[in-house]
Order: sequence, then structure tokens, then C-alpha cells
Amino acid sequence: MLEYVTSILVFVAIYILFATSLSIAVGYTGLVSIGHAAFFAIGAYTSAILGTTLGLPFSLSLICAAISAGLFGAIASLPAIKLRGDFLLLGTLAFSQLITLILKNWTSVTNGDAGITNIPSPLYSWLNLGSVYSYLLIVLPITVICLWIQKVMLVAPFGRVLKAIRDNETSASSLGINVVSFKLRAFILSAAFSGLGGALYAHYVTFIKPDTFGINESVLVLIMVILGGGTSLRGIILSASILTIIPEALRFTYIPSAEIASIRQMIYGGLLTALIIFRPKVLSDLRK
Amino acid sequence: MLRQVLINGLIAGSIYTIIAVGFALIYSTFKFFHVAYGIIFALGAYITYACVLTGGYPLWIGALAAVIVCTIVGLAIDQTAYRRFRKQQASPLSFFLGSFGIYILLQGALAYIFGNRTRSVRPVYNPQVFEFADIYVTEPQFFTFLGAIAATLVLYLVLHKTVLGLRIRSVADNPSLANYVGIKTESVAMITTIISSAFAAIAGWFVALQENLTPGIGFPVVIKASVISIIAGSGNIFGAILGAFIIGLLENIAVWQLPTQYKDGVALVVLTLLLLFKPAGILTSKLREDQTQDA
Repeated sequence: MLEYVTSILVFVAIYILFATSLSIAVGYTGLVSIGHAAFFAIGAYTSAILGTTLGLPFSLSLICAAISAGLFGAIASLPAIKLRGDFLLLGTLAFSQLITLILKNWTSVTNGDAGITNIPSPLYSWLNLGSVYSYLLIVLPITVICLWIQKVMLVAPFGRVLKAIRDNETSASSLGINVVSFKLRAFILSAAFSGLGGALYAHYVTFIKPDTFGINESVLVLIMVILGGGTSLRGIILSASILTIIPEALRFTYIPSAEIASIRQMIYGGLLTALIIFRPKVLSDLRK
Repeated sequence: MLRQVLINGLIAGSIYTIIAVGFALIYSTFKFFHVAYGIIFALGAYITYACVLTGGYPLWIGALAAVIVCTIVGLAIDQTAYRRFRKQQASPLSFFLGSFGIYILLQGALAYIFGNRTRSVRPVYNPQVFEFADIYVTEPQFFTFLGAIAATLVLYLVLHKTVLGLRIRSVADNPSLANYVGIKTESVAMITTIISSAFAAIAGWFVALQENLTPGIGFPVVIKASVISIIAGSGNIFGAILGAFIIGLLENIAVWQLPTQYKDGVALVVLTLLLLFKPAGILTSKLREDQTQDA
């Protein structure tokens, strides 16, 4: 039982990191993305491929995952800096679908639909703990450090400039702010941290396939950010924890696992629509 | 071979025409991406499957049932979600996300009811294949082509020759002005929802007769309908026909030269290129108002 709780805590930590990364783009800069699972996937695949084929150590492959997700973030930000609102949503959606298509069909590198198995999991045997416990001891400090880095950056003028752009792009640029450059940096940062989260995920579950990072994941993490209030760190930590733990409760029912997947999907979809319907200010609240 | 590719492109273009015209009706009237349209389409296909295969009814009963169920679901979506968004004067972003949530919700429901297994009406329906000069066309493909012509013709007549159409067009043109002259936005919304859901149902019916069904079939369809609507530009329903044939032909040319898995990638690449270089569309140069700030 303790092992089970620990394993959920690992997922909670990973999703907190993922959600706060998305909030840099959605909450701070107002770039609402519905394709962020793509960056999570890029991080996971980069780290998994480096770990399995090149045997790169865990710490190095984590860094590479963040860098490669950041690079893809730079590519994806080309539409992101030009578009707004629902056109931006479509752009990020198209990007994530293209990434899934590549992951599925570039079989020589990604092994296609079958996915990558036996991803090395860092076992710190000197801790003399089971792998789940030791992984929590790895994930927690990394998450805390990342949140701290994000916090420091976003409290600094950088974060305030992003909010200024989000609230009024025209007046921000009239004050001499290079809007394009700041949007670009925010999007790349957001992608890089998401990639790091993806890498932590890959080395924990040790098996990834393209379908793991589908549209449902993008929706889930977006709900975490919106429910958490966009820029509030505490809010996002809370909503990410709740939304990771609650679906776990379904496992204790007698519903077959194939149906659980459908039920989870219904919950996420219903939640997204309900948030938009019943908290109409939720998206503009991100602006406060 | 090239001739067969072109014919296949035309047939794909026909099915996309039916899909895109229904989608573009909502897009051009209310200026938002009706993402849930994809699930109404998938529902139409599954209702057809359930009637024809499970129920053993003739094909036309399947079409009728699909239209009825899809219209009801479409109206339910409009009344529970979109009506509130209109009242709140929500942004297109809220419309998109709200509609997206409904899409995800109903796809989950579809998967829950029918399972994730691939479904097909093949066991009871084996379409006839016509052959003229090395070109193969199946019976439903032929009727898809006729159906696309009939459907767009009917929509054209409704929009341009009736008072109803005049009302729809005036709301599309200027909703507040339409309101001043006594046109009720809500009733126009209901009528456009009915028409567009019926288009989705008919498209679903045609697809169910030709292809395998999975709960996810609606998603690429929404992407394609969005691309086609962007090609046409907002406020240009019949431009969608051109967009539909462009996508249909491009896809079939791509499949001819590349592995079939890349078929859905064509629309994604076109979408990305359009968003990057011509977000206002090809047929018009006018960008939708909320996108014009710095583009």
C-alpha cells in the first residue's frame, strides 16, 4: 500500500512540474496551448532513446530532453507568436498531431506504435530502498528545484513583462518591449520544462508509446492550469494533485480497465466544458 | 494510375464537401470552430452501423436514424453550451475550448458504448464495384459524389432563395444589426445547428458504408473541416467546396506517393502552412476581427 501511495506521489510530482510549465505559456503569457503533451512526449522520447541506445546516464539524458523539447518549442512558437485565441489553439493542436504522426511512423528511431520498452530506471541501490521510493527521492528534489527556478524567473521583471504582454500587447510594445522575443522565450521555457517532466515520466514508467501522449494528456494538463487559476503556483499544485489522485480512485471499482479509459476521457472532457460554462471568467481570470 | 488517383481525390473531395459545408455554416455564421461537429459526424457513422449491422434495418433507415439522433445531440450541445457562451459573449477561444471538451466527453461516451474495437458494416453490406476503363468506383462512392452535389445545392437554395437563409446570412454578416431588425439570434442558431448536424449525420452515413469505424474517426475530420474553412476564409461557405477538393486531391496524391499513414498528415501540414503564412485564407483577404491586431 505504501508503495502504491508513493507511486501516485511520483505521478503527482511529475504532473505538477508539467502543469506549472504550461502555466508559463497559458497563465503568464496568455498563449493558450492545447498541444503541450507533444513537448512532454519529445522529452520522454529523447531521454528514452538516449538512455536505451546510447546508454547515456540519467542526469545527462534529462538535460538533453529539456534541450530538445526547448528546440521543438522554438519551432512550434513560430505560429505561437503570430496567432492568438482559437487560431493559436488550432496551431498547437496541429503541431501535437504532427509530432504524434512522426512518433508513430519514424519506426527506425521511435519504434513506431510498439513504443520503447526497458527504459533504464535510475536505481540508487545505496539508498537501500525499493525502486519506487528511491525514484520519489529523485523526482521530488528535481520538481522542487524546477518550481523554484520558475518562481524566481517569473517574479523577476521577466514574469511581469510576460503578464504585461498578456494583458495588453499593444501597450506593452508601445513601452518598447520586444513582444515577439518575450513570447518566444516564454514558449521555449514552457516547452523545455514540459520536456523535463516527460523525461522523468519515461524513466519512471520505463515504457512509452505514441498513444501515451495523446490529446487527452494535453487536455488534462490544460485543465490543471485553468482550474489552478493560471498563474497561482499553489492553485496549480493543488489542482494537479487532485486531478492526478481522483482518477486513481476508479481503479478500486470493479470497472474493466478499457472502460476506465473511456470514463476518464468523459471526466476530462466534461470538466473542461464545465469550467468554460460555469466559470466564464476563468480564461479572462487568467488575466488578473 | 493517375486517373484513379484523381477520381479517388474527387470522391474524397465530395465527402469532405459534405463535412466541410456543415462545419463552415456554423463557422461563418457564428465565427467559432465547432469542434464537437467531429463527434456528431462519428455518432452518425456509429448510428448507421448500429442500425444496419446490429438492427438489420435497410440503409435508408440508418440514414434517417443518424439524421434524427445527430440533430437531437447537436441541438442539445447548442442549448447546453453554445447558448450560454453566446449569452456571456464568450470569446472564440472559450467557444473552441468548450466545444473541444464536449468532443472529448462524447468520444469517451462513444468508446464506452461501442468499445475501441474497429467496426464495419461489411458483414451485411457489400458494395457493388463499377469499372469504366480501368477506373474503379464503388456504389457508395458514386452516391457520395451525387450526395455532395445535392447537399450543397439544397444549402445554396436555402441560404439564397428563402427568408430563412436571408436571416442566417444577416446574422453571419452583422449579428447586432440583425438583432435590431428583429431577427432572433437564438432561432437562427437552432436552425443552423439542425442543418449542420444533418450534414454531419449524412457524411457519417456515407463514411460508415465505406470505411472502418473507431471512436476517434471524428478528430481528423474536424481538423480537415477547420483547414477547409480557413482556406475558404470566414463568411464563405461555398468556398469550402474548393477547399474540400484541394484537400481531397492532395491527400490522394500523397497516398499515391507515400505510405498511407501519412494521409492525415496532409491536412495538418496544410493547416500549419496556412496558419503561418495566410491565416486569412486563400479566397478572401479579410482576417476575422479578433485576429487582426498585429497580423
